[in-house]
Amino acid sequence: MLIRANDLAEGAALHGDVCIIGAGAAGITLALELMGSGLDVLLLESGDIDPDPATQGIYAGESVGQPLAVLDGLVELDEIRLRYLGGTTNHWAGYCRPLQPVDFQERDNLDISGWPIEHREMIPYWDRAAIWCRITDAEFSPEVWSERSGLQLPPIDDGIVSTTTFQISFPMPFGVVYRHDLTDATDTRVVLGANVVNIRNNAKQVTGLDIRTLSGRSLTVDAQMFVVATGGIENARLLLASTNADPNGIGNSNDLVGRHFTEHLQVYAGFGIFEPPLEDLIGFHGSDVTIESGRHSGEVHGIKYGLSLTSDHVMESPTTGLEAQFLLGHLPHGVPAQPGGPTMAEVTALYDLLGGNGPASTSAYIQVLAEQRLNPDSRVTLSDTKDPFGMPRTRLEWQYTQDDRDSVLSGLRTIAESVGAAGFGRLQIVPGGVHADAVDHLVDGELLSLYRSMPDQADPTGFPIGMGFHHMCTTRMAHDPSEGVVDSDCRVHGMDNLWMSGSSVFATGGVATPTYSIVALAIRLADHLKEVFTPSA
Amino acid sequence: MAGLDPAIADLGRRYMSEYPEEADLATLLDLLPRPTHNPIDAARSTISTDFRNGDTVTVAGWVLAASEARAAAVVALACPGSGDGKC
Repeated sequence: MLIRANDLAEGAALHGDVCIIGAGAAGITLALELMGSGLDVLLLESGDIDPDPATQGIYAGESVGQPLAVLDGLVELDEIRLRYLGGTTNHWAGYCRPLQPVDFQERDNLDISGWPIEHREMIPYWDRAAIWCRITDAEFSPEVWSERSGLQLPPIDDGIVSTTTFQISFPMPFGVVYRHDLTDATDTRVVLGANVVNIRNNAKQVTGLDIRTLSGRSLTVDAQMFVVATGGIENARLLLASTNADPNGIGNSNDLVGRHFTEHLQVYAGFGIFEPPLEDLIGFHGSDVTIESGRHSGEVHGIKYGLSLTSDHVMESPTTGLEAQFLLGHLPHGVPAQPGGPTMAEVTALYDLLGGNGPASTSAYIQVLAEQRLNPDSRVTLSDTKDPFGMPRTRLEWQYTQDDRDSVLSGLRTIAESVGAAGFGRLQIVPGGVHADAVDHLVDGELLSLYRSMPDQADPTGFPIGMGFHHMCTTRMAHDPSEGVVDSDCRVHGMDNLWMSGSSVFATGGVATPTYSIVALAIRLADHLKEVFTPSA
Repeated sequence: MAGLDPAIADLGRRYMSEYPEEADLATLLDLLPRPTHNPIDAARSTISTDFRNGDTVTVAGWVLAASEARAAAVVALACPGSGDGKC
């Protein structure tokens, strides 16, 4: 059922077996998975069903590191997350793709790497996550999707670069799609307008939660088990701000809470020409498929290809993960115009003469998502400024390094070389030198020039990098408390009854978009909570 | 080189401006694979190998096989005029 904190009496005390803080992808999945298990679940949401500026403003904070860039502009901390039922899924682009085997492994070329669980352990949870994410299934093999959809695959199979499949569930606001489940459940109470301002604890156990509403009402919550599922930034903030037992916050005896803040580096990377005609590359442009069975039977989702570095290559090379998506159009004549340099048409002429089996007829705009190395200096801390409840606001210092930039450049070059070797086309690398809004410039199927700076001016040490709104690793998972905040069950090290859920527990960020794995990990946590729950006498 | 797209020569000139140490016919022919009696055929046969071996060059951001860029440079030297639409 849905209830509003403001409708409860001042000082009311809520009791449950499990209390989940945050009703986004992780929190709602946890609640859905716990329904019918015999556990009495409280799901606390700061916002209401619809957004409102006052609640959203609680997310405001300081950004003192790398600029929070997206497309051709900058964004604020209260724009990159959403604070109402469904959380940030309310602006999720819906891209689903599982983490890759290399993401879980120890890597010699990185200072910090590896998960305390193996890739294979996640597979059954990705299977179940496909349902909640409203995609066909957990099958991401490009060969299988080529067969299912009839979309042609590129002739690239060199073990270095491979085709990547995305299933795209858009729009997929969890708070809308699963509202009836949450409303109708008799064992789940969703409390709207409930802001957790303190996790009371004795440094061993959580003893309760202090709740405030924006209208000034105070409530408390008591439960046997608590889960913080408020997103990769807010999860850290809530632990850091809960200081009644330790001035450093909860689970922070090793000064790790909030560190290793990791994003996916988004780069508008250049252009390309491809030999296959546009109609044969429709898989890169995207197509729709219909879910044929199960809970969401009859619903339609997208399917799309990209190219990515293989796990084997990333494991063996001094680089990190990278995937490239292509916005395709008919090859325009003589553009992109590039004073002083070869035009796309000139490269095409050379390609036609020398490179391929036929004339290049398709142009492409390249967008890259790249893995960021874990960096302890990239972190969430608390600001000196306070929110309406007197809680310290977020201070985010996002930091990436030249090594990250170098990996973007080398990864792009690797993909360009694989594309060339396959006789598939040619790529032009202009990192940050193309405008981000290419999709608005695809005119009548022709991709027009979008250079923001000439290729000669691209700065390998300063090209613009955007963010994917993927906030990860701030309470990372590790067996050893000196390396991470939560254990392999996502329980906060040193705490008996407090678990974290969401991308903050990712031990590494990888390059796959995180929501699908956030949902899978929430399912895994739900199974764990059912297992460890002890019914009271 | 009659009949070739003059755009190739433009690209070849750009390559030589970025790699001036190769900007003469003897050097280019020496660097291209044998037989060099037809630099186009010679380049065509080795492009995939160049890409696989990472033997690539960057011309204004375009990642090209070294042999195809050199072939374009040969075309440029054979077509010294530019902008006349002929080669």
